[in-house]
Amino acid sequence: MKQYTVKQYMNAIESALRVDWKTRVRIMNDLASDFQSRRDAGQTDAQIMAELGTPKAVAAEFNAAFAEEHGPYQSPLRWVWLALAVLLPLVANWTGLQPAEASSIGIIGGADGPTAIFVTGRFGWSGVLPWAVGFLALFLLAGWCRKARGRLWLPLLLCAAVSIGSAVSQLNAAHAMAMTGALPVWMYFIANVLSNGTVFCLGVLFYTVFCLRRP
Amino acid sequence: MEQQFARQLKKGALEMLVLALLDRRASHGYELLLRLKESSGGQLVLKEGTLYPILYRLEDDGCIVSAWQSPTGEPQTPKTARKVYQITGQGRAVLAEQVEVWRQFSGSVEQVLEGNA
Repeated sequence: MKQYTVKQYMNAIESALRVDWKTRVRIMNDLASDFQSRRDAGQTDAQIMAELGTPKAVAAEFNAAFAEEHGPYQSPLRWVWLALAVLLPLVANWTGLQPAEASSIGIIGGADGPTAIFVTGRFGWSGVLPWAVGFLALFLLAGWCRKARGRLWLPLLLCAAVSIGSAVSQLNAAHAMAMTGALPVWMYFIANVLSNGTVFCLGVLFYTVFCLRRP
Repeated sequence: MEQQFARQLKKGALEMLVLALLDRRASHGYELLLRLKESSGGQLVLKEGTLYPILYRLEDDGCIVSAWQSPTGEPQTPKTARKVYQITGQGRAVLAEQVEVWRQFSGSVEQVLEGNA
C-alpha cells in the first residue's frame, strides 16, 4: 500500500466517499474515533492503516452499504450542472448580438457575409450549445446515470453528436474567417472550439467513456 | 450465489447481534468489532464499512445513542475522544422482539432441514 500520513489517509477516504454531507461527517468522526481506539489498543498508525485497508477499499465498503440502503448516491452538485445547462443558452440569447449589430461588427472588421453569420451564431443560444450539452451530460452523469449502467449511453451519444457536429461547423466557420482575416485557419478553429464549448463537450465525452469502462 | 445468501443472512442478524452486545455493555466501534469477532469464535470478522452503517441505522431508529467520551470517562471533543454507543430502552424492546423472532425462525428452519416431510 502507498505510504500515507494519517491526515492524507483520512482525506483520501473522505474524498472517495459517495454519501450525503451529514453521513460523511458522521463516518469521518467515527473513523477518527476508531483510530484512537486502535492506538489505545497498542497499534501503530501504519498497522492501523494496513488493517483498515486502502482508502478506496474503506470508502467502497461504506459506499456499498449506503447504496444498498438508499439507492445510488446522487451528487447535489448535479443541480449546479443543470442550472448551467439551462441558464447558459438563455443568457447567451438575451445578451447575444442581434443580426444588425453582428453585421456592423462584420463591416468594422472588414468581414463579409460568412463572418457576420458566424458572429451571430456564436453569440445566440446555439453558439453555446456544446457548453450546454456538456453540462447537461454532467448533470445526468452525477445522478440519473448511476441508477443503471445502460443510461450512460445517453450522455455519451449526446456529447458525441454535438462535439462532432460542432467541430465540423466550426471548421467551416474558421475557413470562412481565414479568407478575410489575417490568421491561419487552425488558429480560428482553436479559438472557436474553445469558446463555444466543443472542447469541453469532448472532455465530458471522454469522461463518460471512462465511466462506461470503469468496472 | 452462496456469497449472496450468506450476505443476506448476515445483514439481518448483525443488527440484532450488535444490539445484543450493546445490551451487555456500551462500547465504541472498534471494541464492538473485537467483541463480535471474539464472541463468534473468530467467525464474524467485520470491517468498519459494514459496522458503522448498521450503527447509524440503529441510532436513527432510536435503538442506540452515541456520546463522545475520553478514556477516563468525561465527555470530550472529537479530537481525542472515542464515540461510545449505548443501547436505549427502545433498543432493548426491539432486541427482545428480534431474539424472539430469531429463535422461532431458526427453530423452524432446523426442523425443516432435519425433517423428512
